[in-house]
Amino acid sequence: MRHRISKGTLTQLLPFMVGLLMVQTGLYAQGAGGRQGGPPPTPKAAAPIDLTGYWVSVVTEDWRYRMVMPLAGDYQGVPMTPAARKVADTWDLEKEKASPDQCKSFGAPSLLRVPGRLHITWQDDQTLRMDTDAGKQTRVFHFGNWQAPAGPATLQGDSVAQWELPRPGDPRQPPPPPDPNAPPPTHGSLKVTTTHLKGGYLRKNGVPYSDNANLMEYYDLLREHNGDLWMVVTTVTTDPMYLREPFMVSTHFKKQPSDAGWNPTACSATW
Amino acid sequence: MTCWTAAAAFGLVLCGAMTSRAADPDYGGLDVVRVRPNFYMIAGAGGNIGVQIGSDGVVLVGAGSEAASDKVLTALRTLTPLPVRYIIDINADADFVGGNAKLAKAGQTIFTNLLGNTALAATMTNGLAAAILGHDSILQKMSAPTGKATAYPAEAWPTEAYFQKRKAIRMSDEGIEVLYQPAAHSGADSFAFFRGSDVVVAGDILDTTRFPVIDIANGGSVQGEIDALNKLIELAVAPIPFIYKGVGTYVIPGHGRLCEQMDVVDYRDMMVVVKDVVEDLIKQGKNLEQIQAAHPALPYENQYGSKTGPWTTNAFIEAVYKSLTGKK
Amino acid sequence: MTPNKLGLNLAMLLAVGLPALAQVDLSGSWASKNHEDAMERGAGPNPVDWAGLPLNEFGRAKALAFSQSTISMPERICWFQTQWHIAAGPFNLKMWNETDPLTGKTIAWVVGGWETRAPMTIWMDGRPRPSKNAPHDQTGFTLGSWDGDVLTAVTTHMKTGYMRRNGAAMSDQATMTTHFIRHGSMLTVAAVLEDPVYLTEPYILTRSYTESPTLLDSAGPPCIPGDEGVEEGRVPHYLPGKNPFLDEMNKVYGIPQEAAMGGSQTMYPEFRDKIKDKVANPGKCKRNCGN
Repeated sequence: MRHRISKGTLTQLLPFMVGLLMVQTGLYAQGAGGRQGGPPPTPKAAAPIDLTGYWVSVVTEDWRYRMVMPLAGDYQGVPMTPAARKVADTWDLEKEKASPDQCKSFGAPSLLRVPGRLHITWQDDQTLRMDTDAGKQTRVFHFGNWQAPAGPATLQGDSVAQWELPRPGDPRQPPPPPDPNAPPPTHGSLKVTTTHLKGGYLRKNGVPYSDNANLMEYYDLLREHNGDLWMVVTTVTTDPMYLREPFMVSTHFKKQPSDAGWNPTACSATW
Repeated sequence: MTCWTAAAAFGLVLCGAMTSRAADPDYGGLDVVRVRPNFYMIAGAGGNIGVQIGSDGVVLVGAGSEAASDKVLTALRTLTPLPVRYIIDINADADFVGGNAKLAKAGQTIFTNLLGNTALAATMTNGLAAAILGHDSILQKMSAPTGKATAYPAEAWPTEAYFQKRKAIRMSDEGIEVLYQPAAHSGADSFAFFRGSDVVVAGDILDTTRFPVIDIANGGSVQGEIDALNKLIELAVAPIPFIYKGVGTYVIPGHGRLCEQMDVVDYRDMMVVVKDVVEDLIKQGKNLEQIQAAHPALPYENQYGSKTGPWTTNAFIEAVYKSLTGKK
Repeated sequence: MTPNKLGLNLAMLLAVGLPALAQVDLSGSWASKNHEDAMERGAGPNPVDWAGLPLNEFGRAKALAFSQSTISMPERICWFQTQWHIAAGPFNLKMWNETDPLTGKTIAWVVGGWETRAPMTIWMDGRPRPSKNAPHDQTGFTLGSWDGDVLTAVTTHMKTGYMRRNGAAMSDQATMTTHFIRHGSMLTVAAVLEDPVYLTEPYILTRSYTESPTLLDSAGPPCIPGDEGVEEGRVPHYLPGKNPFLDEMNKVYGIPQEAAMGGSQTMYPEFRDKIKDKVANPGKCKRNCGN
């Protein structure tokens, strides 16, 4: 026997089903939250997570490579090429102490591994700024179609940022179209791509990265049941000259309620 | 299909991931942990109680405290309508034998028909109450010489006391060994090993909530406690070689969570380490106060120790000290 | 298509395709990138190296009493790692989801077992956690939930084990919270261990994985104990003050004992100021130098 839904029933049901589909899609639309028909929100306004504030390194990993000077020749874990090994083997502690450039291990690929505090703020609606007390360094993350100015490579390079938002369903399929009426997303990550880097050290004992290195980072926030807020930064350094595969580490920071402990110190080749 | 039916169907789809669950059974406020399909542990009634349920009825190991007996009966009735046939006592502590009388009375002896003489059966079984089996040392502690006051009324005493190191019965087609452990937690400890269920009820020889109570005054000793733990390790079989399949023999401690062999090894190791440290301090000529001040059980104090209550860390160290020095 | 068929098809589409809140597909074979803590995760940490571990005095005392011969005890030869080994160990991860046969919905994510660690089943169906008196087994008990695109799993009912394989013990009262964060073909796992018995504050490790095209087999091999020279009943340990490796980190790396003894302070940047004048220049790496 064939069963039929009456036309009246279908008419009642259809709006419910369509509305449900709209809500589900809208929850995850990218760039959501603007007024209907208005300009899209700025990256600051559209931020799905709040990275601003003070953060402290919690050094539970690679302790003897980060909290103290590692041994000369200790390259555990770094997928170095023979060329990198050759360079690293010439590293000399006394020469480094005497060098006018004490900041080689404070470049973008290794900066977050230096124990210290971060202060993250919005420089403007399109630019997120990170200051570190260790080494007194500043990194600047540009959203949108920012073009790096011409000039030499720098220790912190040029960083382009974008928000990555959660999306439902099959990640192999294109995302659904953004819904301007959807509420702003409350989950997501910051993705930062950094190029134009001046060569430096991945570790203070001379493990090098070259001027050809690029950096990709993901910043995620995790809230624990005891109230702790963690920022986890996954860092991938690629360097065809000195790394035989991308060097991948994840560094964690705990949110601080204030600037207590903020202690700006100059770069040090040994400490 | 009506509109409401469709909406209800969608509701089920949306919430379908949640497993529907019936209301939790009433265990009288106690925690009843299913150990095997036919075996349970009742926690919260004083000492942990082992419960075997089968065609011959219920066998309890331990009876909990007197105050918790009603709750235990509620829990048992939720598990099965079958009567308690045996209570096996594995030590003489109040939180293990306090419920003897009430639980036995609520049960039913297997000797319902003694040569056709029901009256005789009633006389010999405390009014057709369930039997209470226990080592003679337990009977000695619970009873008293004629004319003296007893710690417990007669109906709480073991009705089947034995002197051997091992007593065995078979209930519900399962062999049950009651194995006396001399001079351990006290002078009256046993294990009850259910061979088919692969469960050992250990009493206070194993107590995951505190350092073992070594009742020196009543025959306990640190070496006896270690020997008993070693015996328990032997009895319990770990899930080797397929270590990820199940947990092997279950061990019901006197207090605390359900255990298995590795938990007993952890506890035994703790005893050996503390004993060794105290022994070393004794060799150095330290007295009890000096030894207590040295915190010989420091690695374990946070897990098992206490500064207050009936059994403190210092009391435990004192027991170990006295056991090793022979001082009373 | 008739209106009725359209309605039915739409209903089916919604019923089948209705996503739960931001569920990411974590399934696959994930290769561990042991670029940090390479030695500690692989061959194992140095003896008496608890720097960066927030041990309390009880945890430190337990660790100092530890002898490596413990793992050769016949009773402990098949004593495998807890779920903490996902973070503390070097192994790859194989993950998949289990679905309800009726609804097709994911009721659990599984992190497959590996060598010395049992599978972790992350229940997503809100089932109740076992009683505190329930047994603890090799797998522990894990409940999971989505926070945006991040799968958060909370594991209790674990057996005793190690936070580090040099004696820093983990009690059976520990809770492990594991966050699985996927970015394209990368997976970051952040694991937080809370142990009221041995730690003063939570201990966090974060690890990185990349999607592997090579199919990983997930299985823990069987374990047959052999004789490793420790007789039954003997419990290897060091008496207080007698651990022969107390000065190991200083001798090998110039790291003072104060740091090697661990504790919360060793995790924070200001600790460097405390030990600055006590760190010796140890010279060149002589063992476990990598590459």
